[in-house]
Amino acid sequence: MNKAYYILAVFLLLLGIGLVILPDREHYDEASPRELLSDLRNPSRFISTDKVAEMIIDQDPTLLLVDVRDMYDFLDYSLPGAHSIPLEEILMYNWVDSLSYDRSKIVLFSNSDILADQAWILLKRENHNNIHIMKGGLNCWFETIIQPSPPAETSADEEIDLYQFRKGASIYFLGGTAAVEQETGSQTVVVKRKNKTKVVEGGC
Amino acid sequence: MTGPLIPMGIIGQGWDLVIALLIGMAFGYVLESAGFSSSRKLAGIFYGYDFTVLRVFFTAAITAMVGLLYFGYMGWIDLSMIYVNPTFLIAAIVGGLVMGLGFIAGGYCPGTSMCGVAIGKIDAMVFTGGMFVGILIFSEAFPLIQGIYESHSLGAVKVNEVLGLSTGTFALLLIIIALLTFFITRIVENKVKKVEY
Amino acid sequence: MTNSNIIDRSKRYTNPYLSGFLLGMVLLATFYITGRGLGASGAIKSTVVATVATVSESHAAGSDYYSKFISDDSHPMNNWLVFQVIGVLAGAFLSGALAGRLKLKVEHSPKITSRTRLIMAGIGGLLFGIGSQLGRGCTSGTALSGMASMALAGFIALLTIFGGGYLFAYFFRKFWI
Repeated sequence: MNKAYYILAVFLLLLGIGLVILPDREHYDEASPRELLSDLRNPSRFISTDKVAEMIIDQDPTLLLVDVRDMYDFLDYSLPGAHSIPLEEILMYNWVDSLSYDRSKIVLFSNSDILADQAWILLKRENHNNIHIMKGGLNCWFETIIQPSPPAETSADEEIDLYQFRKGASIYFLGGTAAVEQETGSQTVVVKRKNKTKVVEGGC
Repeated sequence: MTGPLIPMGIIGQGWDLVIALLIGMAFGYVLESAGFSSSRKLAGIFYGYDFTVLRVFFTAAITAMVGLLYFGYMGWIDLSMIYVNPTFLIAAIVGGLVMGLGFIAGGYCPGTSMCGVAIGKIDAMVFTGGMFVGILIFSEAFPLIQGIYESHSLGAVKVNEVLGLSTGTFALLLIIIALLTFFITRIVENKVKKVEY
Repeated sequence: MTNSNIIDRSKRYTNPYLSGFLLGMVLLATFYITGRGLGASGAIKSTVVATVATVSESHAAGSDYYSKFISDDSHPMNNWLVFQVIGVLAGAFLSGALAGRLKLKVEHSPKITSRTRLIMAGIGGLLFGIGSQLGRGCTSGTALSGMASMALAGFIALLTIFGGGYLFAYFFRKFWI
């Protein structure tokens, strides 16, 4: 009987020593596939180019723009104030915590939606919140903000307001030249019809 | 399945009470079979003639603690979701001392008195009735006590954080302390005159 | 004869270390399933709250303490711990029945009468009731479960409950030995 107690005591001690010497294993707070799916289906993960433009113009301090394309593309052209964090490096250091505040709205963008969407899923897996994707990426940015196509004369007021805003934004981002380009642009005939339904929805 | 199951939503709310009943049954069975339904056995710890309480209590706490830590290490349970009792320093100390006085006077604590009631100990029934009245008195006098009740809040702190140790080191320390007490109480128990009860 | 009696008695109860291990496993399972530990005094508190709320609803709602535990949609008796304690009663009854310990009696030291024992039990219960509310839980809810989750509150409860017991043990010795 006594012997059994000693064996048990030694066993317990070994368990305790095990707890001390086992290295800390990091358990990442991973979003479960279920949560991920419901987030994935939530349209609010997208943010329109107009909204982004508006936030940039307003110099909204909560906006954190992240360019997930590679460094060369970033140097070539990017949005004003954007940080460059290429997709390969998206998990490398804890940039989310160091760059953002509690209320930050992190907006990822790439040329189209694809890279940004991949980055979004990776970050969601690590349970980061408040991460959005700029809908349509930089391609859409050019189509809607930099070179907006004017709506039809008969369009609804909102559409015309939107166009006015975009024209203003275009001037803001390009300097005066943009306005001239827009007015002299003769492509209206081509693009107008194509974009008619899309513009109502507010972008790409 | 990563636990805890109910807070994670793995087991539905409807099963809550069934599980409560089953866990309670296991709890009651173990307590009673260890002899916790006898007040004189319980009181033995304070006079050195029977250290069963200490042995059962310490072994259970260490088993559960080490188990939780290994479960957490294996990723079977999310330790951050485990409830850690909040500490209100003054209330905890005064309350503990009052409970100690109640323990030595009444010979039971709430869980063990339930075991006593279940097997027909009349003193346990009186103890439970006393507890009912005590809680009633406390609730009625709450405005007077509220100051003590809510002072010196430290939040849900863990003891190893207070001592500045890692959880593993603290667990090992507690295991060593427990083994030493098991050893010492064995010697004490052999020296103290047996009490027949 | 007396010697064999002692052996019989010690055989009827489970080995304390085995009981401790089993209790630890029950506690671990409770943590795994519910995320929190066991409890006992909370159930009596729920009973008190339910009783007061039945006798005088306005009084219970007006009190700072009762109202903490009354929510509109659930009856205070409909509480996790209450069901757990009903389970404790059933489990203990089962164990007592299997070991042949079911007997209506007052257990007391030969030096005192059962009347004294009952009065002391009542006083003890009263104090434990007050103390458990002040200390936010009893031996099982705070000390045992709190120790397992390494809560500071659990260790304070352990030290003060048993420390208090030892502190006052001298004055109560004639009631026990």
